[in-house]
Amino acid sequence: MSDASSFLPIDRERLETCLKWTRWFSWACLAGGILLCATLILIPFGGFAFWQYWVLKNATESLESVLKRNDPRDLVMALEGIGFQFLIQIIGMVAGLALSVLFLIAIFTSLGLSLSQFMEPGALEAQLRAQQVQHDTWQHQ
Amino acid sequence: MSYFPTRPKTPEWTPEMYTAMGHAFSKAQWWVKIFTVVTGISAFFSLVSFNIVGVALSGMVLYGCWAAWKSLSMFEGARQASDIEEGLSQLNEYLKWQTISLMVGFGLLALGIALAALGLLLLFFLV
Repeated sequence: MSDASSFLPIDRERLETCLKWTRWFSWACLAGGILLCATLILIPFGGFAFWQYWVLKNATESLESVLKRNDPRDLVMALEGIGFQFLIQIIGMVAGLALSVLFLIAIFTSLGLSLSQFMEPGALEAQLRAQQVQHDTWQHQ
Repeated sequence: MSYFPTRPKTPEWTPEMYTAMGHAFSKAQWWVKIFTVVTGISAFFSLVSFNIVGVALSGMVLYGCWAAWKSLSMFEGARQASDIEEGLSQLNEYLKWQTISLMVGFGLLALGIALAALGLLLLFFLV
């Protein structure tokens, strides 16, 4: 039986390197998906990571198939998969950036509100006086 | 006559097939462009918020994007095995740096989760 891979016209080493990194990439996405889900609040991002893992896993299998069966169609599929993962990553990154911007807006808004409360003339004194009155009332009761 | 279904014949590695391979990756041209821009924005945000780790990670991904750009130009109009080989070399570079940055990023996230869990446990036992 002849070894089909010996007829592979593309440098086997480069294909093997591509397979190695695609496999590591997919495992990193799987680990990331599990970690993101473990945080509970980032579960939607974990979903993106799992989607990317699935696409890259298919690309890995296609690359393995190229090396085993010498079928050029498998390389077409693998390259399509690797190209498609860019889209998933874009969606995940845009969502992540939007979330960070919202988070920053929320922080600055709350900071601004707290500061403006203290910046009003006499606001702090009024607040302290009200607290003192409340405290006195409780003591009196 | 065979009673078993036969697998369709494996096509030859013709110039048309190399073109199909090049086209398969070139389809992602716009996504690579948008991805580079989004990574650039992310790097900018990290820079203005003094997030050194974020800058380093975005830098790695941006280097990967540069390799992906070069890879795209190699795959475009591929007609022979050497075109695909050159494209694969650059693609491997992208895959390598993207994987490293993801591993470092998620490693830090794992560390954060572990520290938060430890803090919660300490809080539970001490308070």
